[in-house]
Amino acid sequence: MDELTLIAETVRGILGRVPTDEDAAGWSPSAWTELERAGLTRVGVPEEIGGSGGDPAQTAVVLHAAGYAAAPLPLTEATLLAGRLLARAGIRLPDGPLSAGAGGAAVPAGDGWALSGSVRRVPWGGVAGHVAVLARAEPGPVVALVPARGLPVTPGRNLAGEPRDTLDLSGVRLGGDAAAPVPPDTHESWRLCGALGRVLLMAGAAERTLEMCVRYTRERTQFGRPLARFQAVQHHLARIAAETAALRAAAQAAVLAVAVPDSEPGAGGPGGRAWASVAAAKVRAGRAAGEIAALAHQVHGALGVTWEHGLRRGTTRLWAWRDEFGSETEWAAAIGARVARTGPGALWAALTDDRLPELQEVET
Amino acid sequence: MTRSPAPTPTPSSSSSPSSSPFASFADGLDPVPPELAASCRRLREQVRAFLADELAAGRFVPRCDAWLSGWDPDFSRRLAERGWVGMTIPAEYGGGGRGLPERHVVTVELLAAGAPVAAHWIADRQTAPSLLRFGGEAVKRRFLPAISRGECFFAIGMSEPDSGSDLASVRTRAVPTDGGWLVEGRKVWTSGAHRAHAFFVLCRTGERGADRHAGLSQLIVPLDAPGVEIRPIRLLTGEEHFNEVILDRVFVPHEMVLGEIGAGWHQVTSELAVERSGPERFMSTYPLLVALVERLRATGRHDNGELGELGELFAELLVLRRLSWSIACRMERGGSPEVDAALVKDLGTAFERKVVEAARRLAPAEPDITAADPYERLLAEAVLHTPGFTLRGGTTEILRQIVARALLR
Repeated sequence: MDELTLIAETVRGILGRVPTDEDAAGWSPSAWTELERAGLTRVGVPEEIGGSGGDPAQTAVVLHAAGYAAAPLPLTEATLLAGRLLARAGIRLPDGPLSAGAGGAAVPAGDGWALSGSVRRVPWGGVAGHVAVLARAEPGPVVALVPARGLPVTPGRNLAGEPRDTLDLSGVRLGGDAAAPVPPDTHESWRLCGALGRVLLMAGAAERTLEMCVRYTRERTQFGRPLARFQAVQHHLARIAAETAALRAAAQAAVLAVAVPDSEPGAGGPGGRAWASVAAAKVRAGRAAGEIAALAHQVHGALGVTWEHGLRRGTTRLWAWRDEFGSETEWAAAIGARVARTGPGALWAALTDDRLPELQEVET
Repeated sequence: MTRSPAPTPTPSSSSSPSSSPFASFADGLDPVPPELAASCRRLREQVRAFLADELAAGRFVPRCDAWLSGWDPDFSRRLAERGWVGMTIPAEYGGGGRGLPERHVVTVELLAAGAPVAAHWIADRQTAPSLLRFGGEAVKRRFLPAISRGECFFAIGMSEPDSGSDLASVRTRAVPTDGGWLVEGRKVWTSGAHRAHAFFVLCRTGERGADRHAGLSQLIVPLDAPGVEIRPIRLLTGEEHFNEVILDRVFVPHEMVLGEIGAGWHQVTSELAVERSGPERFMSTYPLLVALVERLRATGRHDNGELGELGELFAELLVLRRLSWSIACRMERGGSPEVDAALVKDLGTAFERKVVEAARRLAPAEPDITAADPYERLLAEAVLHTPGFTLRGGTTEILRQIVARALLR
């Protein structure tokens, strides 16, 4: 078994063994603990700051498996977002549940930093021990590792019931070792990493949803035969499978594009190959998510729209995640603007070239 | 790569999804090996340079669906001189001895340019692989070197007037005779038969019995053989790419039987995986997409909705290329991903149509097949060719049945 498969199996094993149903606070502390013990909540984060190391492909299989299991945990946040922010800032990774958010402002205060404002819709912000915050500052952005317990919280939820909490940062004072300036393209990198994380989660959720559809249409009988025997239903299944395949391919292409050595996902800004691949993946994934969820509910009939049925664990997440870190509308317009500016050839070259991490600017 | 975070794996019932038709997600994350990536990069640059020269010299005009309608034997021969026809044929048979991923790189570029590749397309795509897999030494020696030189073109002899999607119902029949077989029947929708040199005829050589796929065979029939009559069929564009081919007691010697008598169904379905998964299943209207972008750039004003529609098309294109590429890589490793191929064709041909509708919305024009304006002409070609995309090589309905059957297996 190769290393990636081993990691995927391990995550699936843990999430299959530990109860992953949300508690009242909307998460599963025991699942977090198990994954953290295995080093899987810090996969892809450099060892220098206390991460487990590994490349984007390793992070990808963890997130894919988490999406498949509908794990109520801030895994994208801990790995792709907080992990990368803290690596850029040179801040050590804390123990315990870790999330991330972008918002608020930081100003130097004595040897440290004073924070103000709020950071919106932080995944599991209310239960996280720490939140890595990408805050506005002069002259460029600052990353702050904020101890989150006790911060004033305005709770929110996404469509799947996952906590998206707004944290009030006013009055937070941090020492010089808990915050540091980061390069100006960190916002771009943040957005790309977030989009990539949601794409990977969606790819996992789509696969689970497809499996549920296949199982249900085999078991459910109408007019004296299983639903799976009706051609109209079979075509729905084929469509779900096709969209799932497209979503997977989009996710895999994006992971490979950001896996170019020494290439941060945001590097090069709009137009880089990593940018183009992640943007395209978010667009395609968002469209697939909508199709898959709609068709999955169609084949499940009224049963699928009940709270008790497990289908919602996939479909509500697909609906929520397609709108987080930019909907397909936003990313598609950005790609379109790029194509209109540089011509189709430049984007085509970027998409087909397996070497160049960056698209050379071809202004005509 | 640094320290692996993974401890001992825990077996779990959810670890191997039973009903998923896909390989594991991790399998798709292998990077392209550096040597292959370098070879693909060189090829891509060479093909792009060649195409730029051809265009500059006015030797071809980009067209939609040129892999069906752009018949230019001279162009095929020029490609062959550079080693880009018969790339996957081993050197001992005159080919390039390269892999399917490298062929994929070349065909993607040719399709992107709307280059006239129809003459050699079928021979290169599916005839040569079938000959290599199933053919005897004599037919390999006879056809493969000529295919590699871009001098021997093939057509496909599958469909019949009464057998379209239901391919196993073919009625063309071959009966044993002295030294071979006598073939009697009719084939239809035979693209390029009026200009190609030969085709594989799927025919009944034995009774079907309980297994309707039994008793079928593939015979290699030169299109100038005595008893072969070719009647062109005009397409919606008014052009003739299709034909009806009448086989009136055509003699086929034993050595021109492809593979084994009675194994025709197995052979023909293995042909379908290559036939369905190639980039021509999503790039038939790419030249229109290029012309659309140029036209939008010329007008210089776009709202977010228009840009979004454009962006969606490019996002889809990236994903389709990736899907098709990964199938080429899997076939190279010896797999026969027929279900994936069916999936890709379904998605790809829907995209080809989507390009046409997007063009109509974003840059309205009156399509005209005779127009001097390339955009108006490409739009006309695309509209008139569109119905064929979701029919040829397996209708969308059949593809979905294939996928559903695999899911429910």
